[in-house]
Amino acid sequence: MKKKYDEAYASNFIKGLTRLIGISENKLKKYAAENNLFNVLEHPNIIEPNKQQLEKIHVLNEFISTYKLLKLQEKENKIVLNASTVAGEYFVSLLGGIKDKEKFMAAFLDSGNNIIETRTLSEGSIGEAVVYPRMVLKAALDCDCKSIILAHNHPGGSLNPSIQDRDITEKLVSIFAPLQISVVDHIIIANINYYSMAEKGNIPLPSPKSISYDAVPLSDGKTVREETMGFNAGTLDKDDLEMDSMYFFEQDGEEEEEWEI
Amino acid sequence: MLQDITIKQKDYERASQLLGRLFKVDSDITEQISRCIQYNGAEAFFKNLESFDFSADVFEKLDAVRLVLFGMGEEVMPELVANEIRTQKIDSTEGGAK
Repeated sequence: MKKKYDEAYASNFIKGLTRLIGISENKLKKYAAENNLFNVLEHPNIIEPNKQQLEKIHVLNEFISTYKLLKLQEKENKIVLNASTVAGEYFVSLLGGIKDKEKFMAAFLDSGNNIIETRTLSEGSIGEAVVYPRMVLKAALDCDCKSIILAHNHPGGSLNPSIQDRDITEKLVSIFAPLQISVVDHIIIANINYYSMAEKGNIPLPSPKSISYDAVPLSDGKTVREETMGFNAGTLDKDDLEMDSMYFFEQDGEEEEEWEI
Repeated sequence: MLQDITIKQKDYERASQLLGRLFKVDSDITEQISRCIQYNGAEAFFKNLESFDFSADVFEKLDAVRLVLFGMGEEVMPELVANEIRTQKIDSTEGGAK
């Protein structure tokens, strides 16, 4: 029975896509017979669209992300980012379609993980944006938040965090730890996919040595391989441990487990 | 809370601008879409598509977006139509027997 329902959905999906994008129904049906039909949106090149069709698919993807975000907002009139998957999807909807510049954003959360405010803190060129820690600090203190989720896009399409991505995360974790504000995640967006540092266990521990307010240029060029992404784990000294004891994750009730990292 | 409203307002505008780009229509159509989505909400906008005063061409394109969303499992069809589509498909795959 499930397959028949799936067929009903697939046939409408194909009909809509044909009308909007102009890709032939037969081509889509042929692809769907042996593959996951939704690949057409995620990896449009597999159906060899022309330039115009490809552009339309990108716009449609952006619209779908925005539609999902609106639905989320309408549901409760406030967004609760209580897990990396929700945060990932939220930032995909804000940064997913941006290919011409790198943009750095932060969502400032209250103790229940509700978004108090989401701000764009830096916008740069296609391969680089400069992040000023003092701007992030000012924004966080202005809204009296309890935790922060950082996010930025890689216009180049790579989902791997760069060395600078790691550095800015470590700096901000260290700056906010004494203030009892947790940097719970850093999400990287490429196309309509996301990478969550928290999900991969790569949020660094706070370190007094990392406290610096110098600007950090982000770039999706030099990436850090997964296996070397231990950040300052293993290099903790006495000072680090003292700082660690000041690093609280104070979140309300059920949500606490979801963000445990 | 005010910020939530501001973010939402921006997202409504972004959604309608993206549809405008996709359909290649004038800004007055984009504004009309924006007003309708804002007033009804994103999901209800598509569910009630037939009740708005869009030209046949714009309706056709919005309906195509609705079909894509429906295909992705979104509840955007009026309930009766959604049930009809599912039933028709099941009937046809079972040789049309009722």
